[in-house]
Amino acid sequence: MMTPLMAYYRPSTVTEAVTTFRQLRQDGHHPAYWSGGTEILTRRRLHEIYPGAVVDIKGIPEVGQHAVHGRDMIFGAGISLWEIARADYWPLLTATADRVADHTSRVQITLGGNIASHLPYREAVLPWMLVDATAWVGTIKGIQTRPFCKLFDGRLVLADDEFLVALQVSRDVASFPYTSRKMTRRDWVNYPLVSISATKDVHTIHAAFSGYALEPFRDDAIDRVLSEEDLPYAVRAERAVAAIPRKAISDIHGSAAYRKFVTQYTLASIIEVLEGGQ
Amino acid sequence: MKSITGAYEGVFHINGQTRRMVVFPQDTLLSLLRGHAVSLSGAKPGCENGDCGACTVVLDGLPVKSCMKLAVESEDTAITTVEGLYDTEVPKQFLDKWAFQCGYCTSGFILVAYAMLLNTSRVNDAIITEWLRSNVCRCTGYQEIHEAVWAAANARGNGT
Ligand SMILES: Cc1cc2nc3c(=O)[nH]c(=O)nc-3n(C[C@H](O)[C@H](O)[C@H](O)COP(=O)(O)OP(=O)(O)OC[C@H]3O[C@@H](n4cnc5c(N)ncnc54)[C@H](O)[C@@H]3O)c2cc1C
Ligand code: FES
Ligand code: FES
Repeated sequence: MMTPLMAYYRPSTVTEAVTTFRQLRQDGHHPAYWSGGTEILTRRRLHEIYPGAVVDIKGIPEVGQHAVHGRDMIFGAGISLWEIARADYWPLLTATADRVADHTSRVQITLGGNIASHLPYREAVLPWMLVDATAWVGTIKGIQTRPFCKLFDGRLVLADDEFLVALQVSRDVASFPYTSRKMTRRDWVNYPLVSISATKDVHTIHAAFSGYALEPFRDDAIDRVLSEEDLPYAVRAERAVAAIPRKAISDIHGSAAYRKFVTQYTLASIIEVLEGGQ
Repeated sequence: MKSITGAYEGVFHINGQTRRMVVFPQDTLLSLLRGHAVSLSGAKPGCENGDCGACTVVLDGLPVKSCMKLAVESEDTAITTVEGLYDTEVPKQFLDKWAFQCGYCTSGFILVAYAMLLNTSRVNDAIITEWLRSNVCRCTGYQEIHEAVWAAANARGNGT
């Protein structure tokens, strides 16, 4: 069978990308923004999507930036997870990104593609859910900045023709205590039973979760329980799991009960690490 | 803006040779390499889903699963396939250590090991394991593959 045609566009500015996307949509081509392309190709192979055209954003300089500027760190959406770990500007992001997929795939999977993924995991978003980050968004009017917390609610919330250009965060976050744990059923390389990124500022532990529910999440109530310093680690971990406002999923990787069990003992060890127990 | 809406003549740099070839925008790099115009069958189609690594090639010094990359994205990059590593250290050590059985996965492992040696001045067991985890072998033992990679690292001066 002939593979249906999929036109390819590689703009060099944000405005050109959005204008091209709009035109393609208007002409009925069902375009998609293309970054690493790994998810589009796999979903297309499974006949889940049929983009008639892709707009490759990696030729746009702002999408490829990866730098420390003054007090801030800037991560372009087109930077690969491998490159993020290699440069290691933000250790929590490195630790989380470095556990997504396998080494070769991380050369290709990008930060923006992972955060905008249609799969439930989006593990590279977890550190961003724990800090005050600013998102650069590509719009018809050029780049706009928005608080990342307003843009990500389990999934990336953008207008159909907008795309993530970059994420910006204060360098201060790189010095917070952190830990990141990805728990898989058996193999090292696999989708997570649960993946948790956590950090601590002064007295509060902040944790974000992927794999446990249908979307990544964090919650103030969970953070409060995790931070009750008078209680033993195991008790806090048990209460934190009870406070999770999402339904644990049951799938090929593990049952809901098993996920809760794994999440609980992982949280106990995370608290211990963040409070300097070991 | 590069815009490709049908048959397109691109310039590709494969194993040190520059070639002009006609591709379609939806062609993967894997299908370009294995197609009639190039006829390099070293990169193997396995899962064609990014999982097995049998199709791995090296682009600008980094390993890439060629089933997950569009041919048009690979223009202006240096593409290395297993054919480009003829008579070099890594494949020699795979032969020497019997690090294959049916051989279907072997070129992928060789390319990952080659890229690792390009990018790592001093390897150790953990680094080798992490890079090789991207590839799956269905019939021989990973131990022999690991030993072949160590031997290549030592021969090239990347050992510890
Ligand atoms: C072998 C393999 C193993 C994997 N293992 C894991 C894992 O362990 N954990 C995990 O979380 N994921 C995993 N994944 C899923 C993978 O991380 C996502 O499919 C991937 O992140 C997509 O990244 P990409 O850059 O290739 O995106 P693309 O395929 O380019 O895009 C993915 C989606 O995002 C949209 N998009 C891309 N960039 C942007 C942008 N800047 N702004 C707005 N929308 C955008 C695209 O239109 C598309 O809908 C795995 C994938 C593979 C192939
Ligand atoms: S064929 Fe490309 S990863 Fe399996
Ligand atoms: S040698 Fe047969 S699959 Fe690896």
